[in-house]
Amino acid sequence: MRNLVLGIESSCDDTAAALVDAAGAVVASVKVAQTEVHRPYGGVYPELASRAHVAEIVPALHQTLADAGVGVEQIRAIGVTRGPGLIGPLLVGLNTAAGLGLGWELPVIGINHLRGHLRSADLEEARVKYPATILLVSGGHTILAYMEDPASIRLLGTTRDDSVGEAYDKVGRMLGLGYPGGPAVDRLAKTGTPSIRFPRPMIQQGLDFSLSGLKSAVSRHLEQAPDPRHEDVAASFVEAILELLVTKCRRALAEQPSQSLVIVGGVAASPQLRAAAAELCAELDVELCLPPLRWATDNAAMIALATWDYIEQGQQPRPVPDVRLSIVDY
Amino acid sequence: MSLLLVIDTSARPFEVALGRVGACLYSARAAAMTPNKQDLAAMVTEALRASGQSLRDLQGIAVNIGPGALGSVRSGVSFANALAYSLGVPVHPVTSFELMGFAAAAAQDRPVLCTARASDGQAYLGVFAAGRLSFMTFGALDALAPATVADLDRVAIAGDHRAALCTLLRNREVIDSGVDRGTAATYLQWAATGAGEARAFPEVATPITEDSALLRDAAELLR
Repeated sequence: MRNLVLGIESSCDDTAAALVDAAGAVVASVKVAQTEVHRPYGGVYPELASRAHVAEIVPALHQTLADAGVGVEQIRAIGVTRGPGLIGPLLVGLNTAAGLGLGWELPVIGINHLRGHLRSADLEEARVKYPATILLVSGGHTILAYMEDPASIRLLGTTRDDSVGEAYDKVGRMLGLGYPGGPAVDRLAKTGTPSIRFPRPMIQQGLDFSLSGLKSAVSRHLEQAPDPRHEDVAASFVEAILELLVTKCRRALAEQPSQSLVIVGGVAASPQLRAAAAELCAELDVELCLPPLRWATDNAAMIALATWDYIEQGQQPRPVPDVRLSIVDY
Repeated sequence: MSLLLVIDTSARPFEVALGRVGACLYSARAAAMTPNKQDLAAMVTEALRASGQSLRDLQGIAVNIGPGALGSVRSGVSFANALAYSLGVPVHPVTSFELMGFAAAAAQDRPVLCTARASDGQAYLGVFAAGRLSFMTFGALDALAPATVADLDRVAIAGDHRAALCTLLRNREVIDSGVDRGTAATYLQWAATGAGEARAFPEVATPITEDSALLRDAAELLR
């Protein structure tokens, strides 16, 4: 019985493959992270990411099949991320999927990475109560979306410049905390006092985000303050980020009443963000949905689950890259 | 004799060939293809259909691992690795210099200095002699070209930098082979000389990059 979809994800710095059934049960999921490859550069180096994907992707696929203990005859289709993402890494995944699809005589569907993230909270078990408001916060994306049901997506707001994860990583670098900077900034912030009033760009208006001004303000403060206390800078930065995210979520939930608030993306790992979101949701009587971090960050299981949506909705984008896909595109 | 598929995406147009060692059954170029719009699967399907063969008959996939256009090479190599894995057959990595050198050497009975453009004004250079690639290196063309052919009496030139090489090597006896690249079908002829290597999973083909282990250190060559 062909009851599994093979998902392939290579849009940034994780090489991943997974087998998932139509209900979201994850039969196997393998992810090879490239953190060490990019650490010396303080961010993802696209050419090196592409090279690592070529080396890792077939072994990752093999491992996925071996872990699942299933044969190709159980696979219904291959879903592969076609964008948004880095063009070189995307091409590796797309061509790998095309080769596998030809050899195994399986359809290959190009999947929007963002649709994968939107569905990630329903992996393993149906966690999301619809209608839902979703905050996707990662190194690549800062997006607020509204989902009436898994198939109907509306973009509420996105960033005009940097992503939240990018701001975290850059501030981490300014504070000499290495890469990735996010978790280190959060840890340092806990030991400091939010004594510096950094700007909260666009906090009064709408549901879009702007982070570059905040990032620059941190940079200026570090240059100009006579003896900046790093833990206070981190605490003040995190406070500003949290106020921005919570304010936008509150506004979104007021405009589009939702049963649940879902937070996904790498920044969903932030203990401070999780605590602030819990407080907001308790106050508004909305269910907070925080999927396990292995599904909240880039992975192939979410791509496989989104592929089931595509199959159900009769969508079959060709496996060619489109780096500029928006959240509502297929 | 075993049926081989050859994929060459190192330059545009992309090419596929299908045949047995020493005998090409089919070859085609896809002129308009770019890495973003390619359909290698369709090219391979057409190759099989036109030559009356089936996927299950394939016993190996040869693929050009460069040097060449980075993203394009990587696309072809990714496709070939996955197809070979899915069919349970080995992949045969071949460099663009082996194809180019073999094609140029067929007309000129002398060693061939092969060249390919790289980023930042750098170049790949390689010497193809006696039917095999002797070595490859990477660096500044003007410094490396004379050093690369220093030990050779006569040399033919091939690849991207032929015009520049005519000037750089003007005090030597140099023949311009007129060859820009080999073809996918060249692999089948070259393999008939016993050349080429098959790699079975878990080994995969890896594109040539400036940090490739296959390259000889340029500084050492210049000493």
